[in-house]
Amino acid sequence: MNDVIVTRSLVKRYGRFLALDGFSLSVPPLSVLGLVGRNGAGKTTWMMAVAGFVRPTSGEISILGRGPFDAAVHSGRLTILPQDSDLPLDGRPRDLLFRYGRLQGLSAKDARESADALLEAFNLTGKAKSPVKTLSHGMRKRVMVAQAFIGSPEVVLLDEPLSGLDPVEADRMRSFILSRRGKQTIVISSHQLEDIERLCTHVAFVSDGRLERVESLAALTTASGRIACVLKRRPEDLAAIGGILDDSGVSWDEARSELVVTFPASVPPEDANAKLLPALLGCGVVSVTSGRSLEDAYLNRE
Amino acid sequence: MSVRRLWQSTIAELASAFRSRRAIVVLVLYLAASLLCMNGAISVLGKMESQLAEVLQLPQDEGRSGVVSARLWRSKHFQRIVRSVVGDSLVYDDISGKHPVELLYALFAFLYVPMLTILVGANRVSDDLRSGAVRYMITRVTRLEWSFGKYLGLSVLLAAGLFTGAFAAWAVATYRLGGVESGTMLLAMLAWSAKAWVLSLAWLGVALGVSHFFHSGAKATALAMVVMVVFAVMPKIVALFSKLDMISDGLLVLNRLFPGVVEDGLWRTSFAPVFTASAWLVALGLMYFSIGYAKFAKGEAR
Repeated sequence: MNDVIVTRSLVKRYGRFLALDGFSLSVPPLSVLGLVGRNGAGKTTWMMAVAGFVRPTSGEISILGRGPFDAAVHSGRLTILPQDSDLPLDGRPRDLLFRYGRLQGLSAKDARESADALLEAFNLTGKAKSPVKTLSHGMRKRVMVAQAFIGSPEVVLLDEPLSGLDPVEADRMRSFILSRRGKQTIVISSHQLEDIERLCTHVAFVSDGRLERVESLAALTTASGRIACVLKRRPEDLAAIGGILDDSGVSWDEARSELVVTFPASVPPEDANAKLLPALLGCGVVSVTSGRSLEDAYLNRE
Repeated sequence: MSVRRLWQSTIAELASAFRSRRAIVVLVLYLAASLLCMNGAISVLGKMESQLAEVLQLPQDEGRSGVVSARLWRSKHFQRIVRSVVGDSLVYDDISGKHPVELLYALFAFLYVPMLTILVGANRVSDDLRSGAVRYMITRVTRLEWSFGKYLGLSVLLAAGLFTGAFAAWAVATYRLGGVESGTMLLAMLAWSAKAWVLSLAWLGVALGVSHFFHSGAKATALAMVVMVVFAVMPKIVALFSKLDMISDGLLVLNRLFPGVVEDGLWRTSFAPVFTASAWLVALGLMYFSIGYAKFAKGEAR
């Protein structure tokens, strides 16, 4: 299958500021791709260029193999949760979702059913007929995310979908997005790396308007051998632990009571665990984590 | 452009007008304007004709307004005065058989249409650009379908307002005037409302055209007001310059760019001039709308 979004050498210039500087990224079909990068790295600009909100200075965009975004072609096939965009304040969630569904070609019956299902999924049924202006920030955010899923479009772009949500609703949102994995192609921009790690199958690191690298999450977190053990007591002889595996490194974090052992990626994690853990049993093993977190991978921490 | 998406966009604009109670405000504005103008005019007319009847020793019809005016209107002296005020003998010939109150209604309708149309339309695009609500729309319909849908939706709203106004004016006229054929008066007022609606299409184009240039409804409305005043003054300036031989007569054609000048054709009753003026006003509306839309179509929805 072809990549659903292909952008090649995208450049977007605002006066002297280069928001995108040759940004090339292809999004595999049915993947959930996380865009990770610092503020101003170009994540939002890339999404806005893909959705047709901003005009690239140069470069190519192809969505679903049919060129740059054109509502006449892509309506109902690509939707977006845009950043800093209010819903019409006098609108009511159910009416708005229904209306958006109708605009993208759903029949009245399908639009109504889709709207009701999403309101339920996002715990908004009780507020379905309340004007948007009376909703809290978190509720509005949920309506904004819900509109992106009306009619199950093939591609969904979500810019900071979890920001502003309370823990319960954030968890509900994560569950919903996870339920869409394998059914839709989703691109998520977020600064919450834990969310990206939990939701995404692929991660793209963005910096200074360019794509640094894109990899599957599994490849990123297991790129180097790493085992982190939270222990009740510090091992007496750290050097001896380091000697268990060839070419390994050992560090102890007193504050977190955590022992981190790094070793060549060629060593299978299960083999490393089998050798290391017996030596640590006397220290009171509380937890064992194999592989790197996304945060470690992003910050290039071993 | 897809007719289905344009239709949905038009419905969305209308639905938004009703949701936000903007539609009610428009209807109330037109209703109030018609009631007040018609009532005020008939009161003034009543006072005038009492005095005239006294001076001219004409019989009065038990205090009901209109009877003396109608007689006076048909008198040769008064017709001569009207002819000189109207200026255009063709227009005079067409309106000379009309009831004065019917003409007063037409005068008021044509006078308040520009202002009310600008108040209704000038913020409709700019407010959505400011809030970002436009982004939820233009991934579902094309920019042209969104903009033109607003034009069509608002034109329906204006028609509703004007026809409501006609009914209100007719009710006042029937109640307060003597010797009026109720059915004929209603049809006449509806016909004048239809002409005022055609005029409103030109001003709606101006209002929405300006609206595309701003991300603030207040600024757009203020500038549209300025444009309205300029459009009212410019024909006089062009005519003055022409009279002073400061510009060639050929440049008088520039006056055809101002709705207030073209509007004169709507005062006629025969089909050809009314049709020509109507077509020209619609074309002017679309032209001014297109100028604003062109800016939006090329620009960014940031």
